Amino acid sequence: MLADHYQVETAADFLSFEFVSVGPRGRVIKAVRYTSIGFNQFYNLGFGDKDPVSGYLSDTTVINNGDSQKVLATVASTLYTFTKRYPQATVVAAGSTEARTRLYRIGIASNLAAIEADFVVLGLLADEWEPFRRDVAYSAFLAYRKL
Amino acid sequence: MKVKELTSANKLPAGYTINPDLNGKYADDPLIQVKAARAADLLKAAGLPRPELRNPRAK
Repeated sequence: MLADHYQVETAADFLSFEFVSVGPRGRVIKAVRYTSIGFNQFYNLGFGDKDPVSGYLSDTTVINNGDSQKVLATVASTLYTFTKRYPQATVVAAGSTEARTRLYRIGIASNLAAIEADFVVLGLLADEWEPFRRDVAYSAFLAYRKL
Repeated sequence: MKVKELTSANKLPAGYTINPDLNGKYADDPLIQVKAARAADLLKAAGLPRPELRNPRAK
């Protein structure tokens, strides 16, 4: 099972998700969107903080709300929900910055046992996909359901 | 914001609710579009995973 995660609201098509991070810096609306990227059944996992003024998402703001593990577990939980609806989907994820991609890697590694029970997880290293290993500085990640 | 709670356990995992206001939301968000385009470029550059990495799916 995944670690503790936030309550999540989902669109009826399970492509858009929202949840609220709660911590010392207040309440921050986070959003996840799965977008088809033109390859057969390949989707990008987009994730960011909702700007309360513009409504647009950003993944470069650093909130430091003290709940990064819970936030990442929540994002991972959306992967379960999304692929339950789209079991043939392959999901690609990469951060906008090296630091953000590292955060993704930590999130995957922290929940790896649970994730690998249901998913094949690959990392992109020097333009080659390989089975995910902890502590490897991948530039992107890919996951799909074990069927 | 109207939220519809689904009671059927096999439709949604625990802690999830359907919110119709989210239908289509963020599809046109600039960050989402940029990241999707970047992911497509990345797959074009690196290619798809080798077939043996995808074998577990066929098992």
